[in-house]
Amino acid sequence: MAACLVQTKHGARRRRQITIRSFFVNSLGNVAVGAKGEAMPPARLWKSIAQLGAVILASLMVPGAVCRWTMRSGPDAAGTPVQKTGPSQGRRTALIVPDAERSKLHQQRPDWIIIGNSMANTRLDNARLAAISGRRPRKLALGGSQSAIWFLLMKDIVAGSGAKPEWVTVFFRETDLTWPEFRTTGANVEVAAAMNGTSQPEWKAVMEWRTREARTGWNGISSAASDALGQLLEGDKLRAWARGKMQKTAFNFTEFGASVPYGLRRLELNDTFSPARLRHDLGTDMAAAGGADASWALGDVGEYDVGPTHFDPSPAASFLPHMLALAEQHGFKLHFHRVRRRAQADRQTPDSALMASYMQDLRSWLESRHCVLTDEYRDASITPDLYADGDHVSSEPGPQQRYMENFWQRVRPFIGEAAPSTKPRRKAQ
Amino acid sequence: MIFQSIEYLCFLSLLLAVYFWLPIRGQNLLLLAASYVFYGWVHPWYLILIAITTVFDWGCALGMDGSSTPANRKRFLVLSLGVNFAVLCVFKYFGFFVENVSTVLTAVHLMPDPWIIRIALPAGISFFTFQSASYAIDVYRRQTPSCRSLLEYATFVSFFPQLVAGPIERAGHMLPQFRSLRRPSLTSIRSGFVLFLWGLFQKIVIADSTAVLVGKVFSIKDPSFPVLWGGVLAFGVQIYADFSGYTAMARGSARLIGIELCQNFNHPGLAQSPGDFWRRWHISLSTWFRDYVFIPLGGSRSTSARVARNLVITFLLSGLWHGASWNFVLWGCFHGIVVAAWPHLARHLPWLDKSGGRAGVVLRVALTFAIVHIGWLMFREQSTVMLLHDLTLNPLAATASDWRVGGSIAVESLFYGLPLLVIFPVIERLGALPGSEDARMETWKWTFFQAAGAALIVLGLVALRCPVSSDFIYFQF
Repeated sequence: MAACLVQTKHGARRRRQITIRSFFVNSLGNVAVGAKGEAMPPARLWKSIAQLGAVILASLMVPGAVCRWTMRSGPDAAGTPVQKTGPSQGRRTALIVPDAERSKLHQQRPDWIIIGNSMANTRLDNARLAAISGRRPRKLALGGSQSAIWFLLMKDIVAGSGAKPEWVTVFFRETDLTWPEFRTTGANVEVAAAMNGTSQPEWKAVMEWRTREARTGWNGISSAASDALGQLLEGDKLRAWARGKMQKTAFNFTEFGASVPYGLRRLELNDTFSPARLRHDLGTDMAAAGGADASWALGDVGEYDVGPTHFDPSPAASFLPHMLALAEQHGFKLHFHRVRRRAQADRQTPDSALMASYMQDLRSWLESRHCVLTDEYRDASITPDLYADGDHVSSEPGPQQRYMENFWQRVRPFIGEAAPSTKPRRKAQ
Repeated sequence: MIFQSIEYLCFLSLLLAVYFWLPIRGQNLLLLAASYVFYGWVHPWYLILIAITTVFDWGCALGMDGSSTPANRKRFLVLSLGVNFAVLCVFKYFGFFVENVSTVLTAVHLMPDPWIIRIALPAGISFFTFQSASYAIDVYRRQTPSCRSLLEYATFVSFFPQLVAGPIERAGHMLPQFRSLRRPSLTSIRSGFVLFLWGLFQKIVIADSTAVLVGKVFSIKDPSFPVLWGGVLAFGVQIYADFSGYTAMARGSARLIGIELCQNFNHPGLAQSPGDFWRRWHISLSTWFRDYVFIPLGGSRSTSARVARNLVITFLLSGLWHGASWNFVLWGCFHGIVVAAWPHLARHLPWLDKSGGRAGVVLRVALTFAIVHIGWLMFREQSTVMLLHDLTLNPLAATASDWRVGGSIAVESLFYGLPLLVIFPVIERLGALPGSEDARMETWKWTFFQAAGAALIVLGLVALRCPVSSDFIYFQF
């Protein structure tokens, strides 16, 4: 061990061999003092160490136990079922169970599967879209999901079911497709686990590449500490409940006698802070920031974050190339549809130069691989009255029907009518 | 590096693992190295500035001590202050000055277009220059001896827990602590740990959550009366939690290292007059301006007109210290005027001055709270045009929907601020939070309270943490 100058009790300095034992004894000796710096008898010293340990342990173990209890309680305690957010205003609807979904797809044999998050969930309805298009569409949309989960849905459920659809459409916003690590935490950890996500080779390849810088040197130490803390204090579910409760209680306090539904209150908030009412300088800053709408500046980063603005098609950088490989392997065609964010009465925030270039690169790359990209971002017929809250289209029959008719007109030239040979299997009696 | 990051936790843990083993000089060397790593983490060029001013001030103080005549002492003082304030002026005020002069010249057609100069402001520059300036003045006044050791002085100036956003420490309080071996007791380490957690809670639960609400309100061009004032209330909670949270984390970190920093806040929400507010808010800055500006100007031992003048000048400079912008000048003037006017108003309205029983106390607290929040509007609203617009909003023009939205912003921010504004002062009043040197800390009863408090704070951190993180407000000063 190394030698070093150390200070003795009397202030004199002498050279001393450092051993692990002497290191701890010295360190402890320097803090094992009473309130007035006096030396402590052994009994008092052990009591002090126990008290310090009790405080540190309590601060980690009690919240850890509460987090574990909240994460395990509730409908997803069984493991595989995963909650799917409803069409709008945060309503909960059904559960998605991978085995059940595969079985349903196998039986229904849809010829068109649409994958996405709440953007697809609120915009489309299976039965109405079937009536409009004459095809057998099936929506597979998980609220709050992103490209990593979409890839798993495609691999584990669509391909895994053997349904062999003719088309698979993916609804996305801006750079979602090349931002694999976005929304892979919190509730999405459970979703991914239900589909054995982390053990998939594509998942490992992409995630390890994306996080390579964060796992070396100093970043490695801090990310290991962060992971350990995250595992011990896994509080996403508790946080979603507590913060939601806080906001709802604040809403209830300020109804001022009038009973206003929660959904309407959200609309009032959205209207008050709509991008059209944004200060001019902030609007300009936002457009320069990368094409996200102005709500990004308002703090809703979770919903509107922009991600990388340079298109990188390498297989290590995103799940997009792996989706294409899956499509080729299982014989379905891929269509990607960029949705329009909440439209304003008088204007739509234009794409920044970076975003426009990204979209151009994405389109060229996809088309060179026989995929289709549609973009409704500048479609003026998608008017503000179609929207419910945020970027969600209202799931009421009127607005949703209008949206789907518009959508069908856009995709009809290539998706077209159903091929006569693909019929659903009859459910086994 | 910022306190509320995993990097900082690792950094502090590594530092503590080595620190207690070292002798005095080793502890100081390690602290200096750690402080420079902390400060130069993102922008290493900041280090050049702090290193140069440190060496210069240290040399000037030695020069003062070695001077045989008062004139020479004064020369060294002027040199030291001159360099400190010149650095501050160049980095903080030069752009503002040029912008305003060129705007005036453009208005009278002497320049075609106004100039806009943007100079990157090194974090914490106002804090460490004021700390250095106070050292130079104290040495000049012979209130503190000059520091012979450059290492000790450099460690004092750059001490990382308080480097970026204070508290602004005095040499007389800090230097003696760097001269002895730091041997904090285990109870002191315990209380430092809990204090740090409490600061973290204030920042990432209260301040960050209210920052989202404030950001929304101050992003819209036509806020209604209730929405605006809901946002101002949220800002009041945010700035208090943000700054007090930073201070608590700084004091907690310093206590773990065995250094005691001064208290910077004393429940400003309970202030009973604007003057009382300034005795409870950012105490280290208020006392700095009191000792080095207000008293040298004549203080309060003069005619009432002169006292009022001294107060307005002091607060105006304090406003300007916060930022090179007209809204801070207005904010400083506003506080100067209300602090100066309060005693005169109290002569006509006795309830303003320690009478009226409990109702009087409630009234005074409420009135002070309202005045302080008018000030916060000036502080937050950087555009003077928007400020005028905001101050002329008509509450009767607001719709029911506006009142609901504004009300929900106010109530939500009060929910977040509840631990800070109500629960914490009550706990402290009850004596449930003894200081680190309190003998009661060694009993199991208090250990239990402390463990329960720490567990509750961490549970609050996990359950209520804001997913959107924002910078500390006082970093920009």
